[in-house]
Amino acid sequence: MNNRKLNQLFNAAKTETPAAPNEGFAFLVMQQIQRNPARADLAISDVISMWFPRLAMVAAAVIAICVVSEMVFSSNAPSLSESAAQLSEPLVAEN
Amino acid sequence: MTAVVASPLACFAEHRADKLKRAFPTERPVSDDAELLQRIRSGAPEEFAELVRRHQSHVYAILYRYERDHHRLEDLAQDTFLKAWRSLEQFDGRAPFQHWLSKIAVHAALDHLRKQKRSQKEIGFPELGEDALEWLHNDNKQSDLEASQAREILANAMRKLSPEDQLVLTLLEIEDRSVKEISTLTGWTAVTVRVRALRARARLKKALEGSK
Repeated sequence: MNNRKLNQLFNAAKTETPAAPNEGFAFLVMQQIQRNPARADLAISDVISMWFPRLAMVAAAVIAICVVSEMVFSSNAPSLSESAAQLSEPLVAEN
Repeated sequence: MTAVVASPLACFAEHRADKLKRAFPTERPVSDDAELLQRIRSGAPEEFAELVRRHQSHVYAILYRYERDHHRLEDLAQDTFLKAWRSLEQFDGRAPFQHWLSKIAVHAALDHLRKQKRSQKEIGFPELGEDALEWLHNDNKQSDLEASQAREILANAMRKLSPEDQLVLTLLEIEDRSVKEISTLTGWTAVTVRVRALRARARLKKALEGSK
């Protein structure tokens, strides 16, 4: 079976006319719905996935704010070695 | 004097009323799906019938590739709309309603193929006409096969494949959908779609060769 033949089969399938629904099809669907009208409630996962892009953006913004504020505050504070030296100063003086 | 003053006022009022009427007509036709969905959500379930009428041909056009029997096709289409009804709350309106419905239809088709496959026993290649057999036997034969015969051959060979293979070949080779579209419809990654399509094509060739 070569590709040309295979494509010939696919092309024949492409030309097939789709079946059309009966005139009362919508009515039949509505009958089914009336028999069982319950619609599924939203699960938590659905709500999360519905809000996903917005939630993700808010979370990213919160993280960015935290990182920036941490950097700003830590730039004014003394470094770790300075703080250690300050703490150990009285001990060294005692000895 | 009063008449002179009242006239532009009356004109203004009339113009304003006309504008309002145009903006909020009392019985305007529902123009888009979003508005219909809004009505359904706010307590008018009967509006769903209009959605069904709008999209039934599209759903049939997707499903008839997987089920040829008209009654079973109707059941399948009904099932698709029922699933859409039941999960209507999950439709967030980010994509058009028809895309969302197409996804449901494709999944309904896949479930249907799986059920068929489970209940299927030995698949024999039914009697093909002499022309069709000769066409299948001879790789060098240049003559074209009749479209109905070609469809028959393809349908029989496809039945030998797995539901996933049938689905990917139908969407890619017959419906000419892009890999990205198939990925959206099925939920498979683009790589999975490509690999599956390649393997399915090879398996289909094998099935056709085995039918000789």
